[in-house]
Amino acid sequence: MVKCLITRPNHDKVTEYLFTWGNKIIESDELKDIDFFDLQGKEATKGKVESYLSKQSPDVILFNGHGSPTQICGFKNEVLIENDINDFLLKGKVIYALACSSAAILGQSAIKKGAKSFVGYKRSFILFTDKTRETTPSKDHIAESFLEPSNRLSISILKGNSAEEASRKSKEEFKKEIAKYASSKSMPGADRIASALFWNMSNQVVLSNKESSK
Amino acid sequence: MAEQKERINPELKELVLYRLMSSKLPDNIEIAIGDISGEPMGMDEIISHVKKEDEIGRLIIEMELNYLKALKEGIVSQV
Repeated sequence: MVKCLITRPNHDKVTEYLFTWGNKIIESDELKDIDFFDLQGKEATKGKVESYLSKQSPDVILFNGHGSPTQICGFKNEVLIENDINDFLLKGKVIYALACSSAAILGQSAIKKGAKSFVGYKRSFILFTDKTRETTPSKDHIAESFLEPSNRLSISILKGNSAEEASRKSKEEFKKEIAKYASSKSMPGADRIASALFWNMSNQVVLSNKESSK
Repeated sequence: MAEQKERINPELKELVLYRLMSSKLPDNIEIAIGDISGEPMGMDEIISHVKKEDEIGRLIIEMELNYLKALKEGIVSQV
């Protein structure tokens, strides 16, 4: 059985959205056989992540939260994993980080320390939301256009596809959403949303021991 | 010593501002730039950042120019 560590802090509006969409992964009918270890909300701490990585050795790690070129953060932005501090714990793992910019330096460092693959974003992840849906993020169809392509990546990895194949599927989803907004006459300003989706798609990279990026 | 920021072409900045100001995105739509914006922002706030050319503004300018370049090169029409 595939073991997956997922971190889902929820201390602000953005992380609340990632928390909600992370739950859709856990509850996905496609992933009934996955053994999830869910560090949600205030459980997403450095101590718990380090302990689980050391003792349980998951196959896949899904990080959701804020990030920087050198860090991935948890609840209230506590640093969970940091470049050259504890990224050796990612050795042998397949990682997807929905955390801004973390592929820029941390991802590359993790690969050098033996991570199988690190999929993430070179730059900031931009998210459009509908503020009338803030209290029910799962019903926010604008945010859905940004987060479903991300979820497709997680689900694909957990179904056993390679990181490269999972990213390809995610980018196909991004392309469908871009096409929808780029051609849409139904919403004024839809082109702004297409622009942000294109940015996220362009900045999603796969790092692995075989190739530096894709 | 402060890092020297790359100068933004004033004409390109004006182009981006024009696109943002004329986009008429509904008021209920907000934008969050995960690591630097904190809470989601409305379009007026985004426009203010672009005018100031601060970190958020510069990122928005880069994003819009990337998209325009993709449109020009036919990449968007192929997706």
